[in-house]
Amino acid sequence: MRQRKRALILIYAVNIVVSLLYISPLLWMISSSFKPESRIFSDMTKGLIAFIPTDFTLDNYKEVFLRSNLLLYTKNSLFYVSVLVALSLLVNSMCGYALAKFNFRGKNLIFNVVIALLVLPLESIILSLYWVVIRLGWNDTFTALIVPFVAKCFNIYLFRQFFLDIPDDLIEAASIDGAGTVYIFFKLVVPISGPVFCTVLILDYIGYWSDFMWPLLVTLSENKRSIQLGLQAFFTDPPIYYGPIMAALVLSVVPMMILFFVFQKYYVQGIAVTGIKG
Amino acid sequence: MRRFLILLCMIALLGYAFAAGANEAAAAKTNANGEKEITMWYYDNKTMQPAFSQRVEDFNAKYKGQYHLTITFVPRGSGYGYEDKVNSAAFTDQLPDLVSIDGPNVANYAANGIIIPLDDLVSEESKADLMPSIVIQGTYDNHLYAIGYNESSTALIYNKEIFEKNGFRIPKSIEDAYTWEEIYEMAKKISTPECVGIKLITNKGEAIPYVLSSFWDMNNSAFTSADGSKCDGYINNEGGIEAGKYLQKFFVEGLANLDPTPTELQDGKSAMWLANSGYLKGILKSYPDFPVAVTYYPRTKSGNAASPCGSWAVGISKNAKDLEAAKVALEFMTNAESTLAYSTIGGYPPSRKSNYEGNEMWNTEPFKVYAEELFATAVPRPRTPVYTVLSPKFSETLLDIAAGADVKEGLDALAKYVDEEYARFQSSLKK
Amino acid sequence: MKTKKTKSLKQTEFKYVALFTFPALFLLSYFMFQAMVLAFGFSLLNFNMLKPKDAFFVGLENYRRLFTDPTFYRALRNSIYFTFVVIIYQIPLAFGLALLVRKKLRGVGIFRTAYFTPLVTSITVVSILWTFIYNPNPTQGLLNAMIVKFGMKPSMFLHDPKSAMNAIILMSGWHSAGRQMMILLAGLQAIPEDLYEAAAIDGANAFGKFIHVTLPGIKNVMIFVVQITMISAMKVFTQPYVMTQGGPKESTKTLTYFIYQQGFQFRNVGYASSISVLFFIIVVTISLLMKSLIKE
Repeated sequence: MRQRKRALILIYAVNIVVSLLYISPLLWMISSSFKPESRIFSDMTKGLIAFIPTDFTLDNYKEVFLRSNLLLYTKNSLFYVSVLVALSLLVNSMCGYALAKFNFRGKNLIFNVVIALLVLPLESIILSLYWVVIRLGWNDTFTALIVPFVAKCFNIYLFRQFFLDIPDDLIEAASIDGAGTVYIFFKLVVPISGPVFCTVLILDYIGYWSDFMWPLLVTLSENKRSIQLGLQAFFTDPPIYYGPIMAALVLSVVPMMILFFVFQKYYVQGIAVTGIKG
Repeated sequence: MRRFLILLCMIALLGYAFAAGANEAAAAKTNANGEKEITMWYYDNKTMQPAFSQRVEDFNAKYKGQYHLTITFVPRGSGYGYEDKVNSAAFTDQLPDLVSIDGPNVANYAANGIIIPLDDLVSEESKADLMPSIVIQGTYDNHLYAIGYNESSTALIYNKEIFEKNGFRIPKSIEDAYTWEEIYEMAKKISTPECVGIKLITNKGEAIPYVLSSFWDMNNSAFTSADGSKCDGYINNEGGIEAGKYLQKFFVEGLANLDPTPTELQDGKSAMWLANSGYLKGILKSYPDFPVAVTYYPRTKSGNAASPCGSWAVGISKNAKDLEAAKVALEFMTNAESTLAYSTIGGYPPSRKSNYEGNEMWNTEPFKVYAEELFATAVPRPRTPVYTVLSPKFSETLLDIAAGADVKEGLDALAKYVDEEYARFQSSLKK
Repeated sequence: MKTKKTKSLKQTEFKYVALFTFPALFLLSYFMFQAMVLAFGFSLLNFNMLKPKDAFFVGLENYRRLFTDPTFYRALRNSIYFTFVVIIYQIPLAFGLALLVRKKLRGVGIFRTAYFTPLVTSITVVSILWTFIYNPNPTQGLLNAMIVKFGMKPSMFLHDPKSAMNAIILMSGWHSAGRQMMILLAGLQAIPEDLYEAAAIDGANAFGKFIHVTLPGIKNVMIFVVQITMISAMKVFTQPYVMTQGGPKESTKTLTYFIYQQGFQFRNVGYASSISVLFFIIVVTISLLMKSLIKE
C-alpha cells in the first residue's frame, strides 16, 4: 500500500515539474498580455517577474478589440474548421474502416496509394492545388478552405490502424445477430473508438486552426478571413506592438485549450471489448 | 482494379474539361449603383490602415455614381505573406486593379509584366512633384511603373544619456555625421554584454538589406550594376568586402547582438540603433520617458554618404480591365493630400516634395534628420528583377558573416548565386 | 455456422465498399492526386510563376540541375538528420509523457492539457521565446546564462552551423511531442486492463508489467507512430522557416524549405516541382525500407 502511495506521489511530482516546463511559454504569453508595452521584453531576463503581471493593464486587450476584427476572424475559423473536421471524421473513418475490415479487390493498392500521398508535403502541391481550386471558381470562399482537405491520408491511416485492432469476433457476432454493415459501423465500432476519434478531432483542429498559407492564398475578404491571417496583422511592419500581439494570441489560444480539455477525457478505456472473453 | 484506375483518370480529366476556360479574368464590374468597381490591395499594416481607409472613403464620396473603390488589406505578417498572395494571384490572373508593391520589388514585377507602365497615365505635374528617390524606385527600363505612397529613411537613434555620460560629440549637420571609425570607437567604449554598443539587426528579413545596403553604396560599391543585371564585381568588390568586414567587427567583438530583442534600445540593452522614422515614432509613443535622440547615418572618412530609402508603392496590374478607372483611382490615392496623410500616420517622410513645405514634423527635430537625409544622401535599393533572390540571400550571407564566416567567400558566393538566378530569369523570358 | 476462416475470405459487397471508400477516394484523387500530377508535370518545364503562359518544356533539365546543386544535398542531409534525431529523441519523450498521464488520476486532465499547450501556442511566440532562450549573449539568453554559471563557454546555438539544427530539434521535440503523446496515449488506453491483472497475479512488479504487458501491447501503435513521425519529420518546414530561415550556412535548410524557397521566393516553379518529385521518391523509399525492416 505504501508503495502504491509513493508511486502516486512520484507521478504527481514529475508531472507537476514537467508541466511547468511545458506551460511556461504560455504563462509568459498570458502575463505579458496584461503588461504595458515597455515591460514585456525588459522583464524577460529578470527571472520570475517575467511571469507576473505587475503593472496590470487591460490596454492590450482593449487595443485588440478596438483595432481589429478578431472576433469575426475567430468566428470564421470556428465555422470552417468545425465543418471541415466534422466531414473529415466522417469521410476518413469510413474509408479507414473499409481498409481495415472489408475485403475487396484493390484494397491493398488503395492503401498503398494513401500511404504514398501521405508523403507529400503541402508546400509541394500548394501551388497546383491553388490553381485547381481557382479553376473551380472557388476563389475567396469557405468551400475552398474546406473541400480539398476533407479527405486526409494521415487520418485514413490512423483510423485504419485503430480499427484493425477491433476484434473481428465482435463484428461477426453482431452481423450474425442480423446487424447490417452500416449499422455495425455507426452503432458498434464508432462508440468504442473514442480515443481515435478524439485524437483525429484534436489534431485536425489544431492543424487547421494554425494554418496560414492556404487561407492566405484562397481567401481575400474580411468575412472569410481566418484567425491566423487576422493575427498576422499585428506582426506587420514597424513599429510592432507586442502587447496587443500577446493579447490577441491569448485570445486565439483559448478556444483550442477548451477544446482539448473537453475532449481529452474521452481517452477512457474505450475498448470495452475486454468484456468479450472468447 | 483496372476499372478503378480508369475511373480515377476519368475524374482527373473531367476536372480539366470542367475547368478549362472556366476562369476568364472578370471584366470590370459595374455595381448596382452603376458605378465602376475598382479593386485595390495594400498589406495589413495596422498603423497605415486608417489613412488608407479614409482616403478610399473620400474617393468614393468624390466619385459617387461613377466609381467605387474597395481596398483589401492582405496579411503579410512577419514574412512575405503579401508577396506570396500577389504572386499566386498573378499566377491565376486574380490581381486587383491597383496593386501595392514594396519598393524594391517594382523591378521584378515590371520585368514580369505584372504591372503596366504608367508613363501615359500619370500627369507630368504629378511626376515632377515626386521625390527623386521615389521616381528612381518606381522606374524600370526607363518606364515609370509605380508611385510610392510614402518614403522612408533610416538614421542613427541613440540613448542621449549614455552619449552625454561618455562625452561623445553630437554632429551638427549632415556633413558632420559620424564616420565609420567613430561609430566603432564609440561602440567599443561603451559596450558591455549587458548593454551593447549598437543594434544593427532589426529583423531577419528585409530590414537587413534595407538598413545596411548604404554601407556598400557609400563605399565605392553597390549591390548590383546600375541596370540591375550583374552582381559579381559590385557587391563583392573591394569596397563591398570592406563594408562586410566593418560590420562583421561589431558582431564578433560583441558590440552588436546577433539576436537583439525587439526593444533592445528602449530596455537599455544597447546604446545605438540604426532605425527608420516609423520606429522613432513608436518609441516616442510607447516610451515617452526614454532619452532618445537622432542623428545622421554614418558616412565614410572621406566624406561619402548614403542612406536607406524606399517604401511601399502602387502600380496598375496587368489584370486591370478599365484603365481609365484605374488611372483615376491611382491618381487620387497618390495625390498630395493622400501622401501627406500616409506620411503623418506612419511617421514616414512624404513622397511628394510639396508635402514638405510648411510641414512642421519634417522640418523640426527629431524627424528633420530623416528628411535631410532623404534630400541629400538617399540611395534606393537596386532595381533588379532578381531582388527577391538578392534580398533574402543577402540577409542569409550577412548573418553568416556576423557569426564569423569569411567575408570575401560569402559575398562571392552571394554574387554568383544572384547572377545565376538572373540568367535563369532571362532564360524563362525566352519564347 | 460461419467459421472464422469463411469470414476472412468473404468479399464485402461492392455497394458497401463504394459507400465507405468513394467519398474519400474521389476527394483525394480530384485534389491531392491531381495537384501532385500537376506538380510532377511542372517539373519538366522552365516555369516562371509570374509568367505561367511562357512556360516551356525542358525535359529533365531541372533534374540535371538538381543533381549538381549543393543546396539539394545539404537540404537532403539536413532533413534526414532531423528525422533521425527526432525519432530517437521525440518519440521516447512522447512515450514518457503518455505514461505519465495514462492513469485516470484526479487532475490528469490538467497535465495532459499542459503537455499539449505548445502545440496550440502560436509558432511565432514559440520562436520568439526560444530565440531568447538560445540568445548567444549570456546576459540575455537563458541557456547561456546557465552555461556560463557552470563555468563553460557560451554557445552560439542558432548561429553556429554545427549547433543550429540540434537547437531546432530540441525545441521541436518540446513543441510537438504532444502530438505523438496523444496517439500513444490512445494506444495505451487500448491495452486491456485484465492483462495487467493477470500479470500481477503471476507476480510481476511494475517493471515486469511494463516489459511484458505494456511494450508488447503498444508495439503496433509504436510502429505506426515511428512511421508517421518519420514522414512528418521529413516534411518539417515551419520551425526552420520561422527560427533560422534555413541558415546559418544552410545548416537548417530542410527539403521542404528548399521547395518553398525555390517555388515562392524565387518563383522557379519548375525547379521547385522537381525537388518535390525527388522528395516524394526519397521518402517513399525510406518508408518502404522501414516497412521491410520491421517485417523482420
